[in-house]
Parts: sequence; C-alpha cells; structure tokens
Amino acid sequence: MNREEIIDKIYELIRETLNSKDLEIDLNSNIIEDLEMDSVDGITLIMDLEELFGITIEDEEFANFTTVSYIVDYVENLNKNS
Amino acid sequence: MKRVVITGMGCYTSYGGGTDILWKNLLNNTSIIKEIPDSWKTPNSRGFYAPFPKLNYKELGFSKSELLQYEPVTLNALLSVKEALTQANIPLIPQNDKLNCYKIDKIDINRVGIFGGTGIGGIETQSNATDGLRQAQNGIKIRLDALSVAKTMPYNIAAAIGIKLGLHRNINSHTYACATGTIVTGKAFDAIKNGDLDMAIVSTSEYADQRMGLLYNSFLSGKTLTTTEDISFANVPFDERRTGFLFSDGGSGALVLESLEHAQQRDANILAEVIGFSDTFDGYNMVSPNPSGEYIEEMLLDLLSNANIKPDDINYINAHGTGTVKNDQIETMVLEKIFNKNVAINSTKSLLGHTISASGMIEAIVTVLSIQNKMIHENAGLKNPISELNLVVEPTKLDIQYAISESFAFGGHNGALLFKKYKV
Repeated sequence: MNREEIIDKIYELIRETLNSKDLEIDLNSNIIEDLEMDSVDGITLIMDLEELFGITIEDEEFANFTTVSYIVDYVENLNKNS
Repeated sequence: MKRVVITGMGCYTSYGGGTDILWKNLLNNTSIIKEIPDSWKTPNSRGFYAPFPKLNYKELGFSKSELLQYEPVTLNALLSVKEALTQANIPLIPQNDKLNCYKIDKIDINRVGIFGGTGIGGIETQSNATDGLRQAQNGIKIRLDALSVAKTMPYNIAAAIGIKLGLHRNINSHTYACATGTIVTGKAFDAIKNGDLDMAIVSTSEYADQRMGLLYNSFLSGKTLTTTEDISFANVPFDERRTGFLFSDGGSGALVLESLEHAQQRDANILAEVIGFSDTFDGYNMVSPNPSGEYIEEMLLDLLSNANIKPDDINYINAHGTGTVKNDQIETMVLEKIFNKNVAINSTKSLLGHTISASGMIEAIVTVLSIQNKMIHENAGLKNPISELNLVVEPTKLDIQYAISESFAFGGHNGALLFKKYKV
C-alpha cells in the first residue's frame, strides 16, 4: 500500500469512527482539537488501524497520536518494515 | 396524586423486533424452542432454550462508537426505547452524529426520567477480560478492553439512554433479578403519580448468548431450568409435567409512561392506564420462593386495596408462570386464595421462555396489548393443569377492564402492576 492509499484509508477510518461522512480532514488536523475525538474514539481508531493494516500499535505510542500526519507516518513505517 | 398512562411501547424478543411481531406470534402460538448450541454443551449439560435473534447492530443503525461502548444487552434496550419513543410520538431532534444522539423537543427534559435495569448485565466483556488476564499472566502481550468496566456495569443501560436523549437529571438504574422489569416500571409509576416527574422512559434488558453458555449453565447448575429430554414439554408452566423454566438468551422491552395531563397536553395516544404498583420481599431464601406465599399474597392485597379495586374486578392476570415446580405451585396457591376462578390467567413465558429482567417489562407490554386488542394469548403447552384456575388454553376474546402483571425474583423480591383500560 503506498502513502496515498494509507492516507485515504486513515481518513475513511476517522470519518467512520466519528460517524461523519463529510468531515474535513487534512494531514495537519489535530485529532483532539480539530476533529474532537475523545478517548473512546481513539481506542476505536487504534483497534481499526491494527485490524486494517495488520499491525500492532504499542500502548506507549497512543500519547503521540496527536495529528493525522503522525498516524500516517507511523503506519507507513510499520507497513514498510512488515 | 396524578393519573399515570402508557403512551409508548417497544420490545425485542426471540420473535424479533416490535410489539406487532410479538403480539402476532403470541396469538399464533409460535414455538421458538430449540436445542442448546453445541458450544454450550458440557458432559453435564444439554437441553432446550429460546434463542434471541443474531442481530447485525451496524445495519440497525448503531455507530462504531456505540458498538464499542455497549454490549448487546444495552443495544437491545436502545432498540426497544426507539420503538417506544416513536409510538409515543416524542419529538426528537438529531444532535450528535457520533453517538446518534437526540434532543427531546417541546418537553421539559428536567421533568423526564429514565428508569433502566438489568438482572445480570454485560458479563461477556468481563468473561473476555478474564481470558485476557490469563494470557497476560502467561506472558502473552494483550490489550484489555478499555471499556470493560463501563460495558459490564448494570448502569450502562440507563446511562446509554440518558446519553442518547441528552438528559441531565433523573437517571435511575435498578436491578431486582427476574422481577426487574415489573419493579422498575413500578418505580417510574410512583415517581409520576407523586408528581416528581411528568414522563418516564423505562427499559429493561437481558442478553445471555455468552460463549460456552455461561448463564445457561449457571442456571442449569442451580436446578431451575427444564430438564426434560422431550421438546414437547420443555416449556409447560402450570402443567403437571413441568420440570423447570425454559431459558431465553435475550429480550428487551421499553415503555413510555406519562401523567395523564402531560399526555393530554401533547395530544398523545393513550394505550392504557397504570393504577397501581406494589412490591414485597420474601426474606426467606436467595433462590427459593417462600413456600407460604404470604408475601406474594400481601403484595396482591396491597395492590388492590391501594387502588380501591376488589379481586372480582380483575379480568386478567399475566402470571409470573415460569414452569419451575415450586414457583407455579406457590403462585397458583396464592391466586386461588384471592381471586375467583373466572379470572383469565396465562403465562407469556409459556411461549417466550424466561428473559430474566426483561420478562416483567415484556409481560407488562403483553398485558397492555391484551387490553387494547380485547384478546389474550394461550398458556401454551397446558395439558394437565395443576390448578382449577382459569388458565386459558387457546387465544380468547376478553374485554379487559382491570389486569395484573406480576413477577417474582431470585433473592425474594415480588412485584405487581395493576392496569386499567383507559377511559377519559
């Protein structure tokens, strides 16, 4: 999966998590301040990322998931190494 | 004292979703008894149950966030509440996409109460958490469900309804084992009758399709379930051949109760009136009813006298009628003492099996449907009745003026509701 495809998938997951088809997202979006995700949404997103990309996200990493770009980079790196 | 009326009802049962589906199947005497799944069987357990449908909650409109936070026990309650609110014509304005939340419109929400309840709650989550911990202790890295406490707590149902409707006061959660549905409705009735609330949304739910049939096998171990190998009398309340109750692995119900004046002000369709509630406690044994039946008798006499109704005024009783040897014997003994032999009696559990905390709520709904439709369903499977009471053996036309629905519970709690055909 290339970076563009990963970005599209992550946008789709976030929109699905927030039940908002038309939600505006870009790489600079802050998931708490801009997208208004709460802790339950964060857990949902992490579980979905693990399932969709076949990866394991370490618990210690959760705190770093602040922007969409960080998540994309993280998933892209794990994807490359797998 | 305010008069209290019912303006909305909803349910999800083994027959599927909706009070119309429930009523049609009860009158058709539709059997739902099946052998338990292989995954529930042990060398010591076999038998029958009444299966709850396998639902696709996403297709039923729940969001991902809801699916993460709620077990089926709560989701089924929300389905019933949705139907009840729709029937009651409560105006709802969508508020929050993520949780599919609403705002109740044109009604003072500080005068609205939620009364939720369950007997057991979402124990599948805790069962999974136990498995996870076992793995963790064996050095396997796992992530426990972060919502496991929230999903398991019995309060999850009342809280979920409160969140759904954007309420900030009067959220009540009760648990009284198998009498929960009846008693929670009674608590809501009292709050409206006493003027504390204008409207109450009441819902109880049970869901027990756990891996390995955890709840089924626990009841079986407690020797309360039917033990017959013959499916034709696996569910025969009030019959000489009864051996125990037919376990149902799910059910939910919901009611909208209002003060009469509140219902009239918003021009609501009134389905029936509630004119009484009474409950007592056996104080005898955790799992066995008091053989004297004296506290069930006291409850029924209080119910009648508080409403100034005589036993002969009652046309119909929706009995607890589980099919356990002791329960049916004690229940008929008390009913024979108080009521004349013309009162029509049936057990909804004779068709649906026992849905634990949901049963009282579903039976209250059946009682109202019986009043509305001037019909009562049969007490299914009855061949050799244990009593000369009028246990109905076929769907029967009856113009009901006053009806009782009663429930008894593990622990010893007894509850009864008194309904009246609505007249202005």
